[in-house]
Amino acid sequence: MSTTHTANNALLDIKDLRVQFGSETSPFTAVDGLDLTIEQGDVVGIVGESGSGKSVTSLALMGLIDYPGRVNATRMAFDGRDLLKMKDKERRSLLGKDIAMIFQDPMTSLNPCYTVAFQLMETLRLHQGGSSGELRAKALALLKQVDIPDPERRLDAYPHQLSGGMSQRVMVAIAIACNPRLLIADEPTTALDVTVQAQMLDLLLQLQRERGMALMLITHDLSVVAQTAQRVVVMYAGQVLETGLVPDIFNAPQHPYTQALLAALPEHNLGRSRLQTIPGVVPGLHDRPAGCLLSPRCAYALDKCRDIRPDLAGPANFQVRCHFPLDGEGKPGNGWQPLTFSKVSA
Amino acid sequence: MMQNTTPSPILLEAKNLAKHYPVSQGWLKPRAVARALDGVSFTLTPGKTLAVVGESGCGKSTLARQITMIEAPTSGELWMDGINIAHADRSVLKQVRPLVQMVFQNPYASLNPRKKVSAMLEEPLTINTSLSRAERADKARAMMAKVGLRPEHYGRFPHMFSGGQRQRIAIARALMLEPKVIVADEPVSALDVSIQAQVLNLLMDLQESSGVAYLFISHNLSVVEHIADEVLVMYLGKCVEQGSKAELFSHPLHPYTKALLASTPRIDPTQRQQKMMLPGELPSPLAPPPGCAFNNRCPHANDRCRQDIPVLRQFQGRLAACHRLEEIS
Amino acid sequence: MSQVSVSPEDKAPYAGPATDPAAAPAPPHGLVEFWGYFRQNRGAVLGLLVVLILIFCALFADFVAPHSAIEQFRDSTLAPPAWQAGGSSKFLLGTDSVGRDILSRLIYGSRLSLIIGLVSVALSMTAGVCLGLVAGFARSWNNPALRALETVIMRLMDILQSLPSLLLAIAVVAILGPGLINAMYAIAIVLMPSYARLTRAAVNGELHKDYVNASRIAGAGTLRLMFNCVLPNCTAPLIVQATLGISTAILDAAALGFLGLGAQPPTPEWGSMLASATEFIQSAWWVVTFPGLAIVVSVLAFNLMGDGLRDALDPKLKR
Repeated sequence: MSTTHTANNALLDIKDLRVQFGSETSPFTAVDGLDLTIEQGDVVGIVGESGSGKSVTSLALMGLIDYPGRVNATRMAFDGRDLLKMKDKERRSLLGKDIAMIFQDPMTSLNPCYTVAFQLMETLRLHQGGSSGELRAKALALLKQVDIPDPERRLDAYPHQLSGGMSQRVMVAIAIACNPRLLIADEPTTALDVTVQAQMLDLLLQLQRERGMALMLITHDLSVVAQTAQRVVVMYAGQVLETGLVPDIFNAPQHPYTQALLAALPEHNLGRSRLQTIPGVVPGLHDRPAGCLLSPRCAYALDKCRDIRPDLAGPANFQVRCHFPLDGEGKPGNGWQPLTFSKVSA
Repeated sequence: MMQNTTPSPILLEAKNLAKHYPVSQGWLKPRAVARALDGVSFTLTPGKTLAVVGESGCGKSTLARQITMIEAPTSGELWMDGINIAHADRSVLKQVRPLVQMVFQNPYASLNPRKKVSAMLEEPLTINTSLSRAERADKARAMMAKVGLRPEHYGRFPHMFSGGQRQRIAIARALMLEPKVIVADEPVSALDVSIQAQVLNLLMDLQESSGVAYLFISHNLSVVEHIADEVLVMYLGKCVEQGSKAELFSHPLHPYTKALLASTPRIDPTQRQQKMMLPGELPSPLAPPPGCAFNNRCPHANDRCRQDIPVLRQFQGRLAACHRLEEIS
Repeated sequence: MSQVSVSPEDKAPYAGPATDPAAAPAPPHGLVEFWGYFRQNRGAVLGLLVVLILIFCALFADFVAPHSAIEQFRDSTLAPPAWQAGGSSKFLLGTDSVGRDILSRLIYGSRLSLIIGLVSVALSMTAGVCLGLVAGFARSWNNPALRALETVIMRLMDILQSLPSLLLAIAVVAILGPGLINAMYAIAIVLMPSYARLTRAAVNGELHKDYVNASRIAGAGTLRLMFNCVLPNCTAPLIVQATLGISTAILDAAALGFLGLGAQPPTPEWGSMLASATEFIQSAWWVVTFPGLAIVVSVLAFNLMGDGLRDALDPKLKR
């Protein structure tokens, strides 16, 4: 993975993506100024809690945001082709072929009225064509690639006859059917049991390696990202707060939110009787602060944080949106001074 | 110095609980039996948490339904307050119900969308006590404060709350009758990490102040590691390992427990256990494999495993059900 | 043990006021939100308007109607409407064959139609919902004899629905005797199966949800579960069906009246007005047309309103 890359070579290049819903006068900004660059073969994890805008990002990318959502960006290009200005027909030839997506709930992602074979062959027929026999053979080969036990029998099964893990594998098979260059996985393992989750992540990584696919993994589970991704983008309430490489961001997070999120995990609280929490909740439609979106909940917030919204700063892959990013020891830097009042006991 | 240890009273004791569901296979075929729960035993003591761990299909939800008396078990005993509630009749169940309450997994489905918070919290009191309306309202408000809800939430409907707040309402509702046992069925699985931490802290605080015992069902081992005192691992309706949390996590005996721990994603690479990829999936409870139910996925399975069902036995201070414990550990 | 005061939305040391969705001003009241959706459907609002006019006429018929509904003006039989040659402003819509003012009869007739509609629907809804609740809950009961109730009730409803509704109504009236009250019973029986089905389907959808189990665990008995817990969540499709049922009831009552089995003369019911006017289609078109129009307009109004209700109440369509 190269650290220097020109925008021209990037597989996916998004600059300043903005997705808004609601009325023109008081819009709800689901995604606010997202920058993202993915190279061929990258594994990028997009992490955020509910309301962070991570799923909306992937839908915007695929052109799946319906009216009244509005998608704007300075640049949104796949392999040099402008996704914003693309006509529907051209986009349809891209989706499923070069960009593929798998969703969270395998039970509702497959059409319950059609067999697995039909749904696999549908994708193949749309993009590759061929006789029924050829398509069926290809479908069988795909099922074998995703390690489905007893693939011949499963071909003619209906989705309700499959378990969660197997449905998800069928989804993956449909997604990789046409050898996509980018696979977007939106919470692919959230609905699965832990052993099936491990199998699924293993499968995704294996396919990514074999086919040189780029993998964009969207999840709220930090530990999944830690084990799978190379790069991480941390989102909160529609904004990117921090980007970084995987071991660095977890060992020495630069943004207080990342630090607090890691601290709230049970695995980092063994031996304590109480988990460290982030007080408050994600701001909704009506209560967005004027300054930094995290300021009502941040342990280090000062007046500057509440008044001025920070910009994303730093070299590529090491960006952070904070007035006082944390240093190597986890303390706010950049001249941060604690307010002088009595320490509140935890 | 002699330590004055009074044995903790046992709140709930389950002995060989089993629940079999008859499943029709079609017109002419005989009915199959789904052994959702097949002989599980445990005890609950005040102020302690027993975590039930397993994947979907292992029978943990069925267990929850038996303990909360939504269904009657097919066989086995369930002792509470000196009464065997496994096969008790309606009047006895009505008496015992206030002692066992439940918090459900999905905060979006466990609250009645047409009822205000006040109605939901007061419902258990209306049914089981003869308090006046004012008294009920007072209790409801006091409970709301206890779980961290604000007074203005009293007259609102569920759809106006976030997931974490709904779960607080659900916890408040479970506490209204001052139960001795609370069955928590994946109470934090549907919540974000930061909210999960808040709700877990709330649960632990409430346990400390009221001495309630938790039966905490979860598939998330890192949460279990934090909150549990004892752990019971289930597979296809049976218990495969049971013991104290510290021992089970540091030195798991059963291959399934080892696989679960190995599959749990961890941030810290040093915490990650040796990768042990389990092939396949949980078999259907209608057609369990012969012998040990785990044999088709177990890396240590031998011929005996494919023929004889292992029995839960004592080994190294714990209970485990495996023929090859001695060889594996 | 010191009092543990839990305030998990603890303030961070330097944080501002804790923000959360329910701290914001309470979202609009349910009815306000509902009206906002309903208003977007122009047809529905028009239907509502017409229904309101009908209700007004029904309530204040004594003041609105220019004449009595049964008074016969023997010297002005078959008078044409006011705008035609030979008509007078005394009888705006003309008179019928025995000299009764058609406009007044229509206005008084609205009272009857609405009563028929509302009472029939109320009767059938009560019976149908109760049967549907029992059928829906029966599956979850332990006693096999009680479980069989589901099959019994639903087959009974199937039988009722497979008979042509008008023939069934005629049969009921034939047994009970002609008259408005008996017509209402007949219509209620005919409309009942749809409510039973709807309720049972809705109950099936809600019964497995956790909040029902939560009420069970709190100790709720069957009756409380049925009426207090589950039924409020099934009301949306029922309300829509009720509105559409009113229009069906009006049509059925008109049909029965036309056949002479419903309201008896001189009651000014729209259907029976049609019945006595068939011979005048060619010669005195107004005697037939206006009652017919009244039926059409009111049925249409209720249907439009019902459509709008369905759209406004359906949570899946909520933006």
